[in-house]
This record gives sequence, structure tokens and C-alpha cells, in this order.
Amino acid sequence: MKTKRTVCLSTLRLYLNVSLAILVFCLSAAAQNNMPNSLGPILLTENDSTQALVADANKWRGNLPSDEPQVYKRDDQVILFVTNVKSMKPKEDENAFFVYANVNGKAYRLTPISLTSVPNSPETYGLGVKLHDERGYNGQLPAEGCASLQIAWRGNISNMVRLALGKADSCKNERTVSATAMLDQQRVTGLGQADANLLAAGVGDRIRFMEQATFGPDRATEKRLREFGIATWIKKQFDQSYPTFAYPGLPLKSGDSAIGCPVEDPNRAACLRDYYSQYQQQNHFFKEALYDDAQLHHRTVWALSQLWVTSGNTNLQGRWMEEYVKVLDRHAFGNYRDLMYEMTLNPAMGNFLDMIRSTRTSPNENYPREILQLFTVGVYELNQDGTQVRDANNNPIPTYDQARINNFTRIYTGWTFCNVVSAECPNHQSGIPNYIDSMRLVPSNHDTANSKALFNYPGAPYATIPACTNCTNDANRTTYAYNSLNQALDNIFNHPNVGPFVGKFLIQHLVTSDPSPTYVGRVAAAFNNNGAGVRGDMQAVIRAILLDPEARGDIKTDPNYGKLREPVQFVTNILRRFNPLSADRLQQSDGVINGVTSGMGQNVLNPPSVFNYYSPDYVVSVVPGTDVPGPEFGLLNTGTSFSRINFVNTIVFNRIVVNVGANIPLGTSIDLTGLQAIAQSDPSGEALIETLNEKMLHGVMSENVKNALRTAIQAVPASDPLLRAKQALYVIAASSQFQIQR
Amino acid sequence: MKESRRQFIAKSGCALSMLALATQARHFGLMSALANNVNTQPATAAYPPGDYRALVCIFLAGGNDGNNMVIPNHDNTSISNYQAYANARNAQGLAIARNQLLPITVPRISGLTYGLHPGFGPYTGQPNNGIHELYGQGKLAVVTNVGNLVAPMTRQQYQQNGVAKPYQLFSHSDQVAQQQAGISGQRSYSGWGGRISDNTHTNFNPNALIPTITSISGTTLFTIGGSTAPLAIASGNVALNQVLVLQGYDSSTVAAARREAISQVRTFNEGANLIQAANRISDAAVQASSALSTAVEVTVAFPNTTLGNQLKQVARVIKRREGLGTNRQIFFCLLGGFDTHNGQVATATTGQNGLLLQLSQAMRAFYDEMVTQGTENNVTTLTLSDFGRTLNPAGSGTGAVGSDHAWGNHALVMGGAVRGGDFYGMNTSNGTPFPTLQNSGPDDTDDRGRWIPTTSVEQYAATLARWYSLPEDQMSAVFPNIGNFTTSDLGFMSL
Repeated sequence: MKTKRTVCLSTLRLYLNVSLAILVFCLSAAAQNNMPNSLGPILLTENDSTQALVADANKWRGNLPSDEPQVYKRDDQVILFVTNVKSMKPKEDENAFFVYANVNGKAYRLTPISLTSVPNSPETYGLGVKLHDERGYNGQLPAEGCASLQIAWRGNISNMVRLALGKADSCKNERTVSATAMLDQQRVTGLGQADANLLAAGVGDRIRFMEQATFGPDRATEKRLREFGIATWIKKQFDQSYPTFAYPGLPLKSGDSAIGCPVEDPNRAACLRDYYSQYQQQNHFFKEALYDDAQLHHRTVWALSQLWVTSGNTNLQGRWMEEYVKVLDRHAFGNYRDLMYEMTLNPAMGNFLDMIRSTRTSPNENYPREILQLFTVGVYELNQDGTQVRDANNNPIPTYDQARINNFTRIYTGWTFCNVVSAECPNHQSGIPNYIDSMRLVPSNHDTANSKALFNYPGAPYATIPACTNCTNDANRTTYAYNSLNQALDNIFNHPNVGPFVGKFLIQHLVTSDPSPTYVGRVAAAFNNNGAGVRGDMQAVIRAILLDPEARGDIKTDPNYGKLREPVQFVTNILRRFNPLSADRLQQSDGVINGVTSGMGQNVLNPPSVFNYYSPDYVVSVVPGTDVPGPEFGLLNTGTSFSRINFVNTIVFNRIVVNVGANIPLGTSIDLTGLQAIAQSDPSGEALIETLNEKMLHGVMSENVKNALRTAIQAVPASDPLLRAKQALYVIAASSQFQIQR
Repeated sequence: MKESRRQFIAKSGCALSMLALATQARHFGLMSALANNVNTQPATAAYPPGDYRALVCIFLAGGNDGNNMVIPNHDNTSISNYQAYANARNAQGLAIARNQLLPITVPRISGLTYGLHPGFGPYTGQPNNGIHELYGQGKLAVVTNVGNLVAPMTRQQYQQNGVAKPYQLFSHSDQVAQQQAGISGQRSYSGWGGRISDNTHTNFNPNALIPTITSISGTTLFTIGGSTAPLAIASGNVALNQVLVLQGYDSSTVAAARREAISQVRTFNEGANLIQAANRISDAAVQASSALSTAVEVTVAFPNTTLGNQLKQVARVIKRREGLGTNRQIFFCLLGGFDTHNGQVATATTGQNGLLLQLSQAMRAFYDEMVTQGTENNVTTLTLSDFGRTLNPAGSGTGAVGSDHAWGNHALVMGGAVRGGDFYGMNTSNGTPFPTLQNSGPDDTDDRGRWIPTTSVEQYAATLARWYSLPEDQMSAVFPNIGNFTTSDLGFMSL
């Protein structure tokens, strides 16, 4: 066995410059057909075995080991050997890898600790791993057992290897060890099929890209992507005018709906709906999502609205929220610092988080707490790759305490509605709260007396804002207040947490729920410096997110890659693929779609609280013993899983027609004539299957799913191709395979 | 469901406990030992039909201001009296007038009079008299100054960091997670409802057609266990037999083929965990959907409110319990809006005032419905909330005033098995279970009246879990820090 392995490894050295295929073939033989497709990294094994090639990290001298494996146990540090990670960037380190272990049916994610190039072995690295699960969703590894190991890199998974824990013979029966679905051999086989089914290079990635950067792939966008390529398309999007449709722009009404929409008004219901709900804003939102050309802008605004959350549940009038939406619109492709300033003084935010009523004598902690906790730095100190900094006892370190909150609170005192006759309040109307103009300072309500100690990280600007020394008149108080506000925002904005905090949030919204730390690190670096020395440039951040190798590629095989489509994405992604129009197909839809997403838990512009519709930390149970991050799963339960499937039924077999009183909306429908023609052209059903495979699942539909789909199609007479098209689309759109953006 | 049946078969040794646990399961410390000796019992032998217990958790999201829910209404000067409360809150307009309080007698505190929020009484246009009456009838108890704790601590220990604190105090998301997890020392990925279910489902619900936990408010941490995932269904404005219905299926062969295809596709996951997770959820929905296809309606008039409709749905499920094969159930409801930094007392029907009115009306309707169903002694309703709020007001003026995030808070427990009409919980430094209402006082963390809890959520939850039939030897598995506290039984449940 020892000899054989040497042979294999020398083969590896021998073919230094020959094709990867041969290298894979050699390793493949060693790993008993346990190789996935060539896209993923490969873990080296003992020859003729699935036993991992492994070295003791404390004794390793840098070469491939030739000693017989030792016995390793929980918390040991070992070296695994990785190859097939072509184009590894110089800055990519161990945190570019996920290391998954499965022992006795429980899933763990082990901690990478080092990455070292192995001399004389081309493209081979020693990956140091601590046999310890940093997150511990399922506790820690058992003392004894056979660990099934896989690693993932840039969204692709390696072969599976075994490592004995506790006892040398823990993996004695390794060939009969039954792993869970997460790591079993079948899955690897499945991947092989997926690989074989790869479409012409680039199509899968283009469709995945449109799912990440737009509200769903459509023909026009795909054409432009073919024409320009992804990077140029992004650049053009940054210059695209937005929004395409005019904002509703309804006038502000009285704070009292009985005055704004008098009881005697025969059209009172419509009045309340238009002015005292988010109806018009929601319709505008969905029209933009379905039809605008500035898809990336709208997608970014939508993601940011789930970071800087306000809600129509407090800001009742649609117009109150409109000005908040405009702040997001203005800065989505601008600078984060500008967003912070305008949002802080936005009256809808001020009302939602109470800054509008926070004064020197009655300070309110709500906004000061949430801008830190939710919008900028988060509650724990972060490394630049988004992982938590740990103290000597391995505990996370809070970013602030109550005293810090108290100090920030003092800075935000004194601003309120711009409700005076003054040039700074052009939209002031007597008796109507002004939700259009930025909040205005009442100088006497601002805290000028106290010195405020803020964040004091290395290099922090304005770590302390001294008490005012000349605040004897309103002019000086005003100067002091605005200076203090800007200094405090600078103090927050420059906190090292902001890049990884905001970067990871946006990755999770656009690309994948559980990005590798290295991916987060690359995006944070773009936040910290756009290349021209500017911090907070959102264009640099978005570019970094969407052009990252972890986002790009035709196929992704990491079992944890991707994200559940949130309800809005789920609905618009189906609609945009099939030319959505009004119910009668004579004009564009009017965007009356929010009722559908509400039923799935996402009432647009009406999130239940400042904590959004779901938590970025939500962890979903795959099976007992296997838990993975999946923020959007906070909205998926038994009830809403049926809501989703029932929406598919509505849109495929019927259309959205919503009667909301006086104003019968136009409804929304999709066009299945294209699918119908394909179904007609090929009575076997195969063409329909392949079309849906490419269009809906970017070419990775498994044989199993195809078989089920084929049976369903063939149950419909070939003489009814439209019904065949509907039947097939229903099965795929309702499937979990489509619900997950991957 | 499938999961639990499989588990059941795998652990068929538990068959005895299904029988043995009929009425007195909680006393069987040796239950599992006995169970291991018996391998086969027909699952149909299950349960005497009368043995049913359910916990109904109402989560008051945002942080309910307990200081305005339970108020001293006496003049005793040795402890905080009404004047102490008014002194702290009246100037800014946050204090509730004394003549508005609904008086209750507290045997635990020398028979002194306290007051419940006025929304707990009758109110024009509302369907019932509210829950104030239930206190007098011994069906409603108050657990005072309860909150997230790792271990007991004093003001001095708090300020000197002498005892481990719950992580991220005063932060909504973290404190909500801890209330629902029953664990405050570190982040938990399961809730205490879920863990109770993990440790009781197989024994008590061997024939159940739905999970032990039903949520009317989504999949929250409370409802998640190691092996437990909840049934989550729509609120009561949707009929129970309509909550899980797949639309578009007629009797045609085409429809049958479609249904068959999506069932098949649901068994494939392409090696993707997220696909498998989504499959697991829709699989549970399909299995529950046939169990819930029977119409059932409540008798009592429920208020048409957020919480009223949720509790109405709970009452329907309870009414269907025999058809569903459930002997132990846990329910989760949620009422939001309690983050009253402002507008807390603007009018009698808005802010916290309106929410407590809604809470009282919904709880009372639910209690009355349980009486009608004959299950009032089998069903216990409890409240949780993020945290209490500062005694010191935020903002001022009746329309604007509110309160900020704090810590220790009062909770309500309702049901025929509750030893109602009294206060429960560990004593504070003043020798009663009610905190000293004084900024910078002995129970304050700092200077705004944020009470350091004297009773932990774990003690509160363990008391309920014991009544629910969680075996004693599982108590520390469900509540890992319970040993840090002097008792796991606060005494408010009659067993």
C-alpha cells in the first residue's frame, strides 16, 4: 500500500506539465471513483483507499507524508492535502476553504488554520485544519468515529475522504459506513451527471448571474450580457437612469386618516388604500422589478432596504416611505457614508426609530442602538473576513456597551420634523407632518453639555467629542450639533467592522447564504478601498460581489452554496422568465403583486420590525444533525411552502387578478406560447425538459428530476402542447430545486 | 411527521412509557429504565383520552413594558408603593392613573393590593370581560421580575462584572433569542419549546399526525429543537381545513400525474443541503395537510385581532386533538408592536394600552373556549417578551412618551392548572418578588430603572415543562443552566 501510494504520487510529480485530466485520473483511481467533476478541489488520499492523506500539523515538515497515518482526535490540528485549485490567488488563504465533516450522521464545519504550498508537488497545498467546529450548530466532534471529510472552494466541493477519530480502526469498515445525504456517494454520482449535462460554457453562469444581479433572467438582459459580457454590463448598469417609472409622488395627507380621507367620501376605501398604505409604492416597486432596465440598481435598493429597515407599519402613508426609498435610490451606487447621513436625517427613519422625538432632556436610544447594531458595525468585533474576533477564552468581543450607546444617543438629540415656515422646509404644510424634507434641528434640544466618548479603535476619528464650549446661541449650537453628527458618523463609518458587515450582508442577499470568509474579505477590501483610496464606494462593493470567483462559474457543487429565493425573488424570477404582462396581455402589468408575496411572508415595505423579514443569522435544519445558515428560511414554513406552490399554480394555470375595490387592477400573467411551441415540436417531451433545464435550473437538472418530469409530461396527450407546457413548468417552478438559487 | 414515526420505531423501547406516562409520567424518574425492558407495545394502545396537556406561548414582541402592566396600588412605605411608581413616571405622562388600575390582592406580599393594567378589564365594544377577572378566580398568576440570566446576580455583581451576564443585554434580537432558547450564556440553535418536544414527542405522541409544536407565527427559535420542526400554519381568519391545501388539483389523470411528479421531485436533493431543507419543510406540509382536512370551529366569540385570530386557530387545533392523535402539544403565537419608545399611552386603545387590551381580550376568549371544550385544566397559556422597559420614560408628553429597552419583566400564566391569584418568582432585595421601583435603586443595572431579573426564564420555563410532563431526568438536557438557580419549580403550577 505504501509503495503503491508512492507510485501514484510520483506519477503526480512526473506529469508536472501534462493535462489535468491525467492527474485527476491518477487520483481518481486512488479514490475509488469517488471523484466529483473536475471543477472542485481534490483531497489526496492514501492509495487505493478513501482514507485521507493526512499529517500531524505539529510535526509536518512540508512535504507529502509517507508515514503511516497516526490516530487523530477532536481538537487536534492536522494537515490535509489539496489539489486542483487552479488559479488560486496569492491572497487566498485557508479561509477560502470550507471543511465539512460528517460523523455518525452529524454535520460539522471544521476550522481551517493554515495553507501552505507543498514543494515539488505542483498545485498541491497542505491545508491545516483544527478538528473543531467554530460554530458548533451540532456541538463538537465525538471522541471516536469515522469522519467523512469534504472541502469546498469557491462554491465547489471535493471528493469525500475518511479520517479515523479516536481509534486507528474507526474507519475500518469505511466502505460500508453510510454517510448522510450531505456527504454520501450518491451525491457525487449525481454531480457527475450534472457535469455531463453542462450546457455550452457560459450559459449556466449567465443565468445564475441574472438571478444574482436582477429580479430574474429575461431575454433582453441575456442578449446584452452576450453582447457586452458581465463586467461591462455592470458598468453600464451603474450609469443607467433609475427609476424607469415615475415615483407615485402623491401629496402628503393629514396625520389623521379621518381628515385625509373623510368618512363621507364615497371613494374613501380607495383614498385610504392610495394614501394611507403602501399600495402605490408596492406597485411601483414591482413594476420596476418586472420592467425596468436598471435592474441592478433596483436589486441593490431592495437589498439595502432590508438592511436600513423602516416599515409602513409605522410610516403609514405611502408618501412617508417614498422619501426613504429615494434615499436608498440616491446612494445605492454612491458612497455608504452619504447613505448614512441622509438616512439618519430621513423623517421616515426618524419616526420609525424615534430620533424625531429624542431631545436633550428626554433622549431616546432607539436609533442610536440600531444604527450600530443593524446598519453599520453589528454587535461583535469582526475580522476583515467577517468572522468574529475572539478573546483569550474564545468568546466574541462586543463592539459597544450601554455607556457607548448613551453617548451616541446624546449626539442624535434635537432633530425633528421640518415643520416650520422656513427655507429649509420647502415642503412644510401647516398641520401635516413633513415626511419629505430632511429632519431639522431644534438647537436648544441638542445635548451640548456632555463630552461623548465614541468608538476608539486604532486610528478612530473623533473618538471623543468634547462638550460645546461656545453654545451660547442657536447658531453655535447648530454648528456644534451638525459637526458632532458628522463626526459621530465618521467615527462609525471608519470602524473596521463596516466593510465586512455590509459586504457579507449584500453577498447573502445577492449570491449565497454562507460565503467563505475569503470572499467576504475580498468584498470588505473593496469597501475599505475602491482602488482609488475611497472608502465606502458602493460600486466597488457590488462589482467585487458579482465578479468574485465564488459567485461566478457554470456550476456550483458545494452542498451549502446558494440561497433560498426570498418571496419577491421567487415570484419575479418566474414572471420575468416568461414575458409578464397584464392579465389580458394587452399592456404591462400594474405591479399589483404584493398580495402574493405577503402570503409568503414578505409584505413589501412593511417588514414586521427593524429586524427585517428574516435574520441574517437564521440557521435551518436540513435533517436532525445537519444545520446550515439560510436567512431566507426564516420565511419558509409548512404554511408558506404551500403558498409558494399555490402561486405557481395560479400563474401557470391562470393569472394574478386581484380585485381591490373601486380600482380593478390590470393583473399579471405570463406567456407560455414559447414553451408551447417547444412542446409541440417534440412529442417525446425531451425538448421541453431541456428547455426548462436551461431556463429554470441553469442546466443542472438531475436525471431523477428529468424522469419525474417526463412522466408528468407524458400524462398529458401530445395533442395538447399548451397543457404539457403548463404541466412541466408547474413541476419545476414548484420544486425545491428551483426555490434555491444556486 | 415521518421523522418522528421512524424515530418511534427505532426507539420502540419507549412504548411502555406511552402507557406509563398516562397521568403521572413526570414522577417516573426511572421511566426510561423501565422502557428499555419492554420492546413491543402496539402503538394503538396509546393513551387514555382524558390525558392531554398543552402549553400555549404568547410572545409579546418588542419588549412589553411590565412596569405599566403590574403596578403597586398600595401605600405601604416599606416597599415600592403607587407613589414610587408615579414619581418615576408621572411627570412625563407615562404613569397610569391610580383610579384606572384594576385591583388585585397579592397573598405573597402580605395581602397588599396591586393593580393590573386597565386594558385587562371590560371595555366598550369588546367581546368579554378580560383577564382581570381570572386573577380573582385563581386562574391567572403573575411571575414577577423574570428575565434572561446565566446565574443570579446583584446590582453590585452586575456593575463589577462579577457574574456571567447574558450576551448582548438590551438588544432585541439577542434577548428574543435567549427568551426563546432558555439559554443565555451562549447562542443556542434550539428553543426550549423545541427541546421539550425533542424529549417528549416519541413518548407522548406516538400516533400523532402532526408535530408536537404548532406555530401560528412562523418558524421561530422557540419551536425548533434538535429533531423537532414545527407545523406552521396561518392564523384563524383562514379555516383550519384550508390552511394547508394545494390548489389546482381536480380528479383528472393529468392532475394526478402532476401531484405524483412533485412528490417524487421532493425526494431528490441533488446533494444540496438547502434543497433538502426546503424539501423537508414541504414534505411536512404535505403530511399535515391531510390530517387537517377536517373542518372544526370554536364556540366562543374571539376578537378579530392579530392575537385573537391566532389563539382561535390554536383552539381549533386543540379541539381536533383526538383526530390528530396528539396528547401533548405546544403552541406558539406572537403579538408585535411592544417596542414602545414612543406613543405608549397615547390613548386607551393605542400603543401598549391597545396591545394589552388586545392581549387580555384574546386570552380571555381563549380561556372561555377551553372551558367550553372542557380543557381549561389541560391547557396553560404563558407570555414571554424580549425584555422589560426602563422605569425612566423616554420622551415626554402623553402622545409621545415611551420607554427604552431594559431587562427584568413580569409574565402572565393562565389556566385551570395554574395556582392563580398570586405573584410568583424569587424575592428581590426588598424581600418581596416585586422589584424596587427606583432609578439607581437596588434592582437597577444603572440609573434608568432596568431591573436585574431575580428569576430566570429557565426557572419559569422549567416550572411549565414539569407540569407538561417533561421527565425530571431530562430537565437539565432541556435547561442546561438550571443548576445555577436554587429551584426549578416556582410553584405556580398545580401538578
